Amino acid sequence: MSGALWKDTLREIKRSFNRFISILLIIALGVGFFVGIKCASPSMLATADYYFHSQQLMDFKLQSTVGFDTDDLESIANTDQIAGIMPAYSADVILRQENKSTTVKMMSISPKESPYQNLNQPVLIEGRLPESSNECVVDHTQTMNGIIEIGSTIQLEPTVGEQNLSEILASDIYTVVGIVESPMFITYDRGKSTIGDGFIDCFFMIPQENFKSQRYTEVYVQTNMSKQGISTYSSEYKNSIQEITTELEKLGNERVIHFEQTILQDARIQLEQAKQDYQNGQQEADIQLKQAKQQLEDGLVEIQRGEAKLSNGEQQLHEGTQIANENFTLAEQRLKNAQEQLEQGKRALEQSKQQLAQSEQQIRQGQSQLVQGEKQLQEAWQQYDTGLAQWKHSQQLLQNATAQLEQTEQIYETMIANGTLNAPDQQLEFARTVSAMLTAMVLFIQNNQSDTTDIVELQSIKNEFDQRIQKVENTVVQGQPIPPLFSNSELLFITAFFPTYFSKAETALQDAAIQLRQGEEQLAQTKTQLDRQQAEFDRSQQELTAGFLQLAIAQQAALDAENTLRTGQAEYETGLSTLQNQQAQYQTQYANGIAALQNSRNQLEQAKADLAAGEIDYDQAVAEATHTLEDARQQIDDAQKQLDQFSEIKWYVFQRDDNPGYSSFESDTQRVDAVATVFPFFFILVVILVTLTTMTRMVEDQRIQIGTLKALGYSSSAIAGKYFLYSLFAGAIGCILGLSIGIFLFPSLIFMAYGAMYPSLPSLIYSVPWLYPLLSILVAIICTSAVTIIACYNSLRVSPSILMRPKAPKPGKRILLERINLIWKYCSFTSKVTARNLFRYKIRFLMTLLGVAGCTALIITAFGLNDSVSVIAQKQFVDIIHYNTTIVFDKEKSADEAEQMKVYLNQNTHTQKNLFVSMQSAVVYNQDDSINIETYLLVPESTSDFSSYIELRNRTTEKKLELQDEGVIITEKISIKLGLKEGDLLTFRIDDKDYAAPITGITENYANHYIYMSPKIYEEIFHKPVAYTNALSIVPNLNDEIKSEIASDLLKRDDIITLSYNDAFIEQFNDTIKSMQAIVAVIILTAGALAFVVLYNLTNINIEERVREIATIKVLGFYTKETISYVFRENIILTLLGIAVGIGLGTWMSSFVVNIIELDTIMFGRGINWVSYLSSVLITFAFAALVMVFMSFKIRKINMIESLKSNE
Amino acid sequence: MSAFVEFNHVYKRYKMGEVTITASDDVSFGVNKGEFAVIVGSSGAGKSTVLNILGGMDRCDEGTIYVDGKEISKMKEHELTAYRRYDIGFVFQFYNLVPNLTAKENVELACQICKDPLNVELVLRNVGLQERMYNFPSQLSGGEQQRVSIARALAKNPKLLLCDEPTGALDDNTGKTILKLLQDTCYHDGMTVILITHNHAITPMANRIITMKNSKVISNIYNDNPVPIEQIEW
Repeated sequence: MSGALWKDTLREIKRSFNRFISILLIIALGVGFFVGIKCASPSMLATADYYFHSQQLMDFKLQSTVGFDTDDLESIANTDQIAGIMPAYSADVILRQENKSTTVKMMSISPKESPYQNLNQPVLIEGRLPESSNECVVDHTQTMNGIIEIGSTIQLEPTVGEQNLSEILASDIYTVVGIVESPMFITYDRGKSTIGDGFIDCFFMIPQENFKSQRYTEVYVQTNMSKQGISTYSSEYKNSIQEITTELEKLGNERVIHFEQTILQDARIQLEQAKQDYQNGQQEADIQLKQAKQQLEDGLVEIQRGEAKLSNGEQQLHEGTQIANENFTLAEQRLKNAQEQLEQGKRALEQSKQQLAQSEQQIRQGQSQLVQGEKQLQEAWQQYDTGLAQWKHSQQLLQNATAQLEQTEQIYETMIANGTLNAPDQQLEFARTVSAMLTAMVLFIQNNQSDTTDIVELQSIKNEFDQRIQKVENTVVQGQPIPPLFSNSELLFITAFFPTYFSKAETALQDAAIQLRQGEEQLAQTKTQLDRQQAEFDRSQQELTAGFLQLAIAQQAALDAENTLRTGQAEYETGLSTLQNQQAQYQTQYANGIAALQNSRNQLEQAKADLAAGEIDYDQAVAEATHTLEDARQQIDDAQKQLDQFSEIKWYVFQRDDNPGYSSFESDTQRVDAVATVFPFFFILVVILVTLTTMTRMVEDQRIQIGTLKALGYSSSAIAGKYFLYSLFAGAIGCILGLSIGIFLFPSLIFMAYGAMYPSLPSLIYSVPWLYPLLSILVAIICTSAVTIIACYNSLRVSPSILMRPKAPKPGKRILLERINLIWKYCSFTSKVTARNLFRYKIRFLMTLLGVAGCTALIITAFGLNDSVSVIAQKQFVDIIHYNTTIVFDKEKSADEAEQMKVYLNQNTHTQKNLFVSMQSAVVYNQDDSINIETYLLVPESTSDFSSYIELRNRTTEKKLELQDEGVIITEKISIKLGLKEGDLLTFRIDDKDYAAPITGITENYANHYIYMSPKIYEEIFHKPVAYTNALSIVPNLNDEIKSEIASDLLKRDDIITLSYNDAFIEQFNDTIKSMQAIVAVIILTAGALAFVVLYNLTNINIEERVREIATIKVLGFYTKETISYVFRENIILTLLGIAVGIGLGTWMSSFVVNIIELDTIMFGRGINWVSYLSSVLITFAFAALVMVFMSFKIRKINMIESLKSNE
Repeated sequence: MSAFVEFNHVYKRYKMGEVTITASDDVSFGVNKGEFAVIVGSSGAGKSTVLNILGGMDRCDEGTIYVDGKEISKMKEHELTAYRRYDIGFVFQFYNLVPNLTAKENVELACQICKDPLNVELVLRNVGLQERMYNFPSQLSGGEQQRVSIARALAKNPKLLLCDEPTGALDDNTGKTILKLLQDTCYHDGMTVILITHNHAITPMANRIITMKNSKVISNIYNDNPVPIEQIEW
């Protein structure tokens, strides 16, 4: 290679420095990122490895339930592959400071002159290690809160669980002399404890002599491998550790048998003998005492019988008294009632009698009135009858008088008429008539009138007449002719006056008749009145009679009542006397009974006193015997307890895996490594494509020069050499730059992110697995060189003459869109230009698209990863798992035991809501047993309230699932890994026994694998009832204070070993999320850098290629803005397209990466938050915009005079 | 009365490292409206610099330049762009067509930024390309491409047409047709045309012949009787 070529190459680099730099940068970026990320995981592992090795971290920790003695130590040390051992002590104690209780793990520091290895060496952060026995060094984390500092003294709580601190440690006061970190604990997790709140907060280290126990509590073991420095995370180490574990376990079993056969056996025999003696003595004493006891018991029985009888009698008496009293009271009551009734009756009778008397009086009064009335009435009637008779008499008299008068008148008239007045016979007759008439008249008047004047007159007249008649008659009787009676004068008179008289008489008689008629009327009136009075009287008479009748009845009734009362009174008196009789009788009987009872009681008391004396004697005898026996018993018990402590002798072999944080660190590095696998390939791809376009462009740019050189006779290889060198330089420098930055930058960034979780790891040791840098250098250089050579070859093929002619710019072409006239017609001019430009350089189009899409996709993937991880805690421990505390029992509990435990838990206010479950590990496997998954089989005590503790639901449809008796519900990850779906048969293995159950549902779950089974189907499958191992509890407002309250209460019980809280998991997840965020930031920055470099490079090419065009446009008078938008419109469209593609790609990549990174026991969230999408798009756009801002300066700077130049 | 285009003592110097090259050295000339002016000179005589400055693509260091009464020598960048946009039509030696656009679209590219463009198809017909207006530059011959370039310049309806060696990349016959087109544009349509060439042979076709040498104007001759291009042989 000639010097001119070198010079030319260097000058070319200088000339097109931008291009050179962009190739260099993209290679640096790609290689740096790939190698950097790839180195992160090895560097982290190397750091841990270095740390463990330099602090001589143990490979095994052996623990035994009985501790270790020197024989044990020797046999451990003599095991194959073991390089050294360190026997040690540890004990969990409580430290109380400012009311805060801290659970501390006290660990021993071996004495300096110890014959054993010094393992697990603490790293001294500050101060010094203990030199005297009452000094200690403290955990680094514990000094953070500032309570403990060097020089302060700590005092431990005197009791630890049920033990006294003094039984464990020699001293309870220590002076802090240093602050340390231990390789045992690389995270903040210090492990679990059976005291305090169940978690160890920190460790203290004190000199070994403080521990009182003879036997070591643990032995730390170092293998040859770790002594030789074989990486702890290598498979060689892991395999070998597994082998040694088996060895140690075997040794453990041997040692346990040995322990039992030697130490325990003797003790057992002695104990058995003692037990036998004890039993014999006990039996003898028992027999003697039993006899005495029998006698006493007989006496007692006798007394009891007497007492029973007595109390029976008393009872009877008491009952009799009670009944009699009740009866008496009842009878008295009844009598009293009767008396009252009688009184009432009497009173009522009295009243009615009074009333009767009154009414009788009234009736009598009425009667006398009536009698009087009758008399009056009779009188009235008499008067009336008299009147009537008178009236009748008068009437007769009147009639008589009237008739006489009429007769007289008649006669008179006849005499007048006949003229016979003077005839004496006639006269006589007439006189007689007149006399009769007068008599009648007088009679009438006499009868009728008091006025007697008329009568006298009339009487005189009559008399006159009668005398004359008498005279005549006297004559007549002698037989002589009848002399005239009247003289003529008289006759005359008569003739003259008689008619007047007659009429007068008639008138008078008529008057009298009228008067009589009046009298008759009066009489009739009187009669009517009398009749009425008579009727009234009759009625009164009747009423009175009725009154009498009623009175009689009432009187009868009163009489009856009186009779009844009298009878009642008699009865009452009889009853009263009977009662009094009975009472008197009863009193006598009662007195008799009491006396009898008193008698018996006295006898019984005597018997009791006798018995008591006997009992005291007996008790003394028993006490003596018991005391003797108890002493013996105590001795035996003590011996038994000592033996019992050894009942479950077991060795536990712990590996480094069991150290908190050890395996999580490894899985963290694996996750980083997985990220490293996916992303960098993408970068390498972009690097190749960018280099390809850039170099192709460069070669094409220089075709005239190539042609000239070729024409001058340079060989093709010599010409290509320049470009080869150019790309080689770019590639080599880029690789060196990328490697030198990437190898340090990315591991430290990632390690920094994890640093928060692993505080005690030392600063990062950069470990470069040289394969990756070499590979990436090779790939980068081969790619760029190959690309260059291909580009050159394409040009060199052509003859120099053609080469020297300027290559026509890529001809314009009609694009597909133009064929669709309808659309094309309506496109604006500028959009037509843009559209055509887009399709003009297809490779560049694709490159830009790929670059932008890659950027978006990477960012989406990064965000998606973050989303997937960050949702786990929320989804798993809020949405799915509702319980926050798990209470772990020492062994399986039957339903009865669980019930008792439940009562206890319910007494604690915090753990009232709990669900007992059976949790056991089960291995799920597929048909050919090629995939095995460790799962938990969880059976709740009841399915009814299960969803309050664990939500079962389908992830995609969010439909709730119910635990059914037809089959089991499995978590999603199991179904994914085994390809199982609803309705399939799940096969699983517990304790080497195979079982199967149909799957009724697949539930959303993120951490661990579970098979959920109803108790019913459990019993069907396992043919035994469910035994409970855990209680899931929902503790409201769980915080540290409540935790320690719960712990102090529940851990008191022997059958509760541990409490675990879900917030510990949540915290762990949150730490993971934090570290993820750092990774996300790294990815976003690199992705942005990718987008920037790609866009910059391609835009650069684009502009350089179109310098003439842009210059021309400027000449045409395009304003700067118009020019820039003319060029960048394509970029913007490509960016948008790229983003669209990137969203799809990113979504796919995200799920791909999530699948790769996902841990076995954890399912990451699926789906990406829209905010993540939006941010990804915006970030991509920001980077694209940044490129455009940069490039717009370049466009501004394009000189219009360029347009005047020819094409090279 | 001042000329349509007026250069007064224009200087332009380029600094190339420590050497200062004076590209225009006291250049003064005037061109009247409607004239066909040819600036002729050998390579490096400074004619391109004059054209660049006149075309608003570059600035002079001293002196004043007036075009249609506007002093472009003191215009700012933005004003210069507007000046190029509305007042100048430029015909390049290498046509400078946008390869991705058809003949018609290339013309439209210029038109869409003008205030009062001419009908694109009409202009293309006038330059004799009615048949080829939908072809891409790569499908056109050099002469045809130059016609497109001229059409693009004319369609803007500029005040001044500047041509930078328009025949430089063309064979003689084609060159003649192009020059004919430019001549017709000037004499028929009254367009002021300033053409740069190193070919003295074509000077008789112009109204005004400005000769440059060593960055200076050495003569500025008005030709009353321009010769039709067909009669010129070189």
